[in-house]
Amino acid sequence: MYPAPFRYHRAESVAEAIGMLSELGEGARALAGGQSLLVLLKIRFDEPTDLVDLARIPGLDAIEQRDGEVRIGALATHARIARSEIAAAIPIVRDCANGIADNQVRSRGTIGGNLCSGDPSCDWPALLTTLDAQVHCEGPAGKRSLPVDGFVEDLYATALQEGEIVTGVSFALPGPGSAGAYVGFKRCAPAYPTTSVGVQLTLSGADCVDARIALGSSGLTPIHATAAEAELRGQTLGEAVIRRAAEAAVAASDPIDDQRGSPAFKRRLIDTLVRRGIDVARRRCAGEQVEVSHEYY
Amino acid sequence: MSTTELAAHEVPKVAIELSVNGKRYRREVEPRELLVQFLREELRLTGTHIGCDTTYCGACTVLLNGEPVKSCTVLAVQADGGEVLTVEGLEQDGQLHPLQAAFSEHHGLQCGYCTPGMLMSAYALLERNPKPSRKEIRKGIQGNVCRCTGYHNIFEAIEAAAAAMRKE
Amino acid sequence: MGIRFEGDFTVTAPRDEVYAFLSDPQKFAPCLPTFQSLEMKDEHTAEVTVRVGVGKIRGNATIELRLKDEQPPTHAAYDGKGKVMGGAFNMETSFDLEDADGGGTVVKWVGDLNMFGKLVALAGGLIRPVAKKDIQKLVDALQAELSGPQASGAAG
Repeated sequence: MYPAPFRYHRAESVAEAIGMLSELGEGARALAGGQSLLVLLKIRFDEPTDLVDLARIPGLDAIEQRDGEVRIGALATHARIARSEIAAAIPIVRDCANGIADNQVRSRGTIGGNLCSGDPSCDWPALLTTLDAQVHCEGPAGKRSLPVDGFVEDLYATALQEGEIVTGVSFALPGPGSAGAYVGFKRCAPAYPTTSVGVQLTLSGADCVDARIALGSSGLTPIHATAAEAELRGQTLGEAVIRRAAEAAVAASDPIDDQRGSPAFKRRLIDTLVRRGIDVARRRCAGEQVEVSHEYY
Repeated sequence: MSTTELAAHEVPKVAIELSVNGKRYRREVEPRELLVQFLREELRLTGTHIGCDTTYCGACTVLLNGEPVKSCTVLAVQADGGEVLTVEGLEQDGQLHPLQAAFSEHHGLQCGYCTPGMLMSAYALLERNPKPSRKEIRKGIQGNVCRCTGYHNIFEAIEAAAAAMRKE
Repeated sequence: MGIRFEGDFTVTAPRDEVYAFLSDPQKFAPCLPTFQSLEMKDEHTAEVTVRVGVGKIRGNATIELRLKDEQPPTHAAYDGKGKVMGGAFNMETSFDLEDADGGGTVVKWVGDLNMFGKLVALAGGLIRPVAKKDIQKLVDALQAELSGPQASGAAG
């Protein structure tokens, strides 16, 4: 299987990429690692006239932490993020980066591509929503930053305007007493998750000062489970509180019926994963070392 | 899907230069040509197999700039300027690589279809981690599917190869 | 992969008028969301092209639609086959018309879609939610077309 013919353009700078994408118009697609895009092209689901390769643009793959803020360039691969000091310091980032697909896909796939594909099965949009991240974009109208919550607007549709690209993402370094977990379930390593859940808690003892919960592969877009957060915030974490949060997360989901499972199965899974995510986040808040990632058979 | 469908001859070819198993090649390729097709059809390096063709099975795994990739999901133009290592590059001076010898010794294959990809993933693993635990080996070949062996002898082979390589 | 869609909606137009509209592809096809073109192959067969897709990914779907059963003014059925990005499909659809209480017509419809190909293997679960949105747009357009400005405003 190979894609339908397209013209290939290699951008050497962000400005050149924006110029090319704007000029080439709606038949053009931006190419980063290609781990989502090439799959769509090979099944001829999409037949663009032109690909603009962003992968050689210098400086877009930096992973850095400065003044309490973490910044990850759009071209940083999942594998590099997983091996970074950021991932060592923030376990929820490691959970997600290591959980995506397999070693080979993580070598090529980028955080920017994962975010921009708009595929509801992608993990970074849900993880970044859990961390309340900002998406940094640059286009013909200049630079802007958007909250990641809502960036993926619909199936394969994002807030990006014509000619606009994502240059990076940023989020606040979780403070003391704050920790999270990103847990998912998939049928095997290379498969997309059946569902996945991100939980970030800020605790004072057993009291939940703040909570953020987002769901991946649980509907047509990433889902920010605000009602589930509200069940936790200001509460002492106990069995009943956690049950209500899991129920609220399930209620916020709208899983599709596909080969990965029925909606009923996926709802049960979301319930389990929210509870597990809360459990791991809570233990990490208490300083315990816990290794989790996507589980598979 | 585009409104104006392009014919292949309307698309300019792209000149690429890359190193495969230490040898440099210059070729002009169609932009849509996949790295696996380039290796198999242009360079006649047919040790790299196409299995599922959907970024799933890992039979087409090669190393690109030292990292394992599924060559069915990389365009040849993306590999421009890069260094590729395929299964043909493992053998040195007529000597099997310790991984190849261990797969043979420990019956780490039955039909052999997945083997080139398994070897390349195992190679990438041992480059980073010379003494992997059983769990780390499992993770190291998580992107490679074998439908014959049940993996047991593959784990044994990789462990044996790791031990042999550490002694050198 | 087979999916059944069904539903009903009410319009203010009388049954004869609704039947005439829905049994003529040249009349109703332009109500399809992102309708592109229609060509009549013979008296009962139309080739309809619509633009479909998600996000930036847009493609044409062509459907050969044949009116296979006519029972005016209450029932008609079509069958169709077509091609869409990464797949092919067969479909059967029919409608039954009843007089609505207090005037107008109730349209009860059912559609069976069978899809094949790589698209189904890779993204089969997305077909129903995507199709559902497009069907809702079609129903809205038909209601507007067959209810006149006041009625569709009232239904709004």
